[in-house]
Amino acid sequence: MYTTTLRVGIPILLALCGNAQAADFAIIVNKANASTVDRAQVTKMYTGDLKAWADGSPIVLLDLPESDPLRAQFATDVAGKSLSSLKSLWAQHAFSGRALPPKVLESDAEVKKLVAANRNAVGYVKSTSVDDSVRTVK
Amino acid sequence: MNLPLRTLMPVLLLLGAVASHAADGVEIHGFANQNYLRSPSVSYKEAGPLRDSFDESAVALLFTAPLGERIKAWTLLHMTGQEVRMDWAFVDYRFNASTVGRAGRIKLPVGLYNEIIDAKFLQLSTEAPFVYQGPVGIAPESFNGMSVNSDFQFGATGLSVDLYVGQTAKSSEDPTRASSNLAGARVTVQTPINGLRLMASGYRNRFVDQADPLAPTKQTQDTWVLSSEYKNERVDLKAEYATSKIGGVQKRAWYIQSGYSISESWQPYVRYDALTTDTSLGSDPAYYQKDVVVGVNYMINSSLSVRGENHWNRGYALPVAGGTVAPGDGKPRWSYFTASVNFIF
Repeated sequence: MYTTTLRVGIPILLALCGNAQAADFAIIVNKANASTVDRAQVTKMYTGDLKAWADGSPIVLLDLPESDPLRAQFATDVAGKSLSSLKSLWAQHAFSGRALPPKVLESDAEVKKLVAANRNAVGYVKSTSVDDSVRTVK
Repeated sequence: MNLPLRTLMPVLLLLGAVASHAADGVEIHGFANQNYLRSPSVSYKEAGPLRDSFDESAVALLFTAPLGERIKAWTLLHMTGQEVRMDWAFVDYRFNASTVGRAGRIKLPVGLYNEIIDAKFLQLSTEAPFVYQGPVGIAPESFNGMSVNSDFQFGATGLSVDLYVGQTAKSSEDPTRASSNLAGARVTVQTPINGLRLMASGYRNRFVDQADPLAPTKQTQDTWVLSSEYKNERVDLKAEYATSKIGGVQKRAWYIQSGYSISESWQPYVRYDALTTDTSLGSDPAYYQKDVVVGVNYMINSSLSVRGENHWNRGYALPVAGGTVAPGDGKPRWSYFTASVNFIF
């Protein structure tokens, strides 16, 4: 009985921890941006496969510094890549003249401020940093 | 003018510092490579009579500047050990969500590598496959003209189409080619299998061959490249087949290569590469070359890598095509070792 509880309980606990970690960041867009944005589209944006909004306006991608642990978590969870392979992918886009890598800002606060000010911007911040100046992507 | 990395690196660092203070909206990115090559059996490429060389070095800087919400200017300056050149410089304009147009000097969209051929950090090996070797003449570096790129999505399948028309940029590899008009296309399919993409590229190049200045001749080059790539966090598998015909002479090149990341830092790789510069003379070692490559990458961090690889060759078609060895003078079996330090920012 005790063993069974452990067998079932530990994976559930680990899964819950994983989910808690996955929920550490929130993807945000400008409140005035009427486009329907889902997680799959954000993946395409951050891997360079989707470069413009439906009306043709360029998507302005924002990133955190490489030293910020949230960036590696975002790369893994959303782009499905390690930090280095995502960086390499963006370098390919840049050096072939296709797309430029996301603009790196210093902090959550700067990302949120720029998203709130730029209708075409997309970024990610700590879940706890979100407020009503921006819209969260579900 | 040979500029080894010890000379280029301070320039690079200075420009990197400038980049960090660049005007708002202007972005600067770059890459640098320093190669070492040693050939114990023949003088080949820059190996010269000493049979080893540090002469292959390059630094490139990419400048971009927005000219409006949908329009952007791009230019890439490329400094090699021998020259400073503008690889490409164009303006792109986004028509709508899926279509971009470009005008200026544009990298030729051929195969998997051609647009990033000089950024060694982004490649698996130090030496590019034969398909992309300049003297082979299958994939010219860039052209002056216009291109349109459109992306489409059909469920889980992505389709990207490049169409282009223009004139090939004057090439130091083939200075006898004049009035060189070309038109072509590339279709890329992102399959529903994550990491697998397929590609078909082709172009027609009409030019005047001035090899004999007294009797210039009009020529047509038709080139096709089929490519496939499967890439994930561990596996990097590529295969390409190219054929190019000028007049009655047909060239063919193909390779298959695989890299496997055994850790975040170490990535061994192998490649089998084959080239025939004239299929009608395919049994003459001056016109064919088969190369087995075994190497390893070491990623110091996400911007810097060190790489070493050995090449075992049969035939010497590439040195003949490059004019460094005359037919009949090369060794049918030979090898060389090359290593490189590669950097991006």
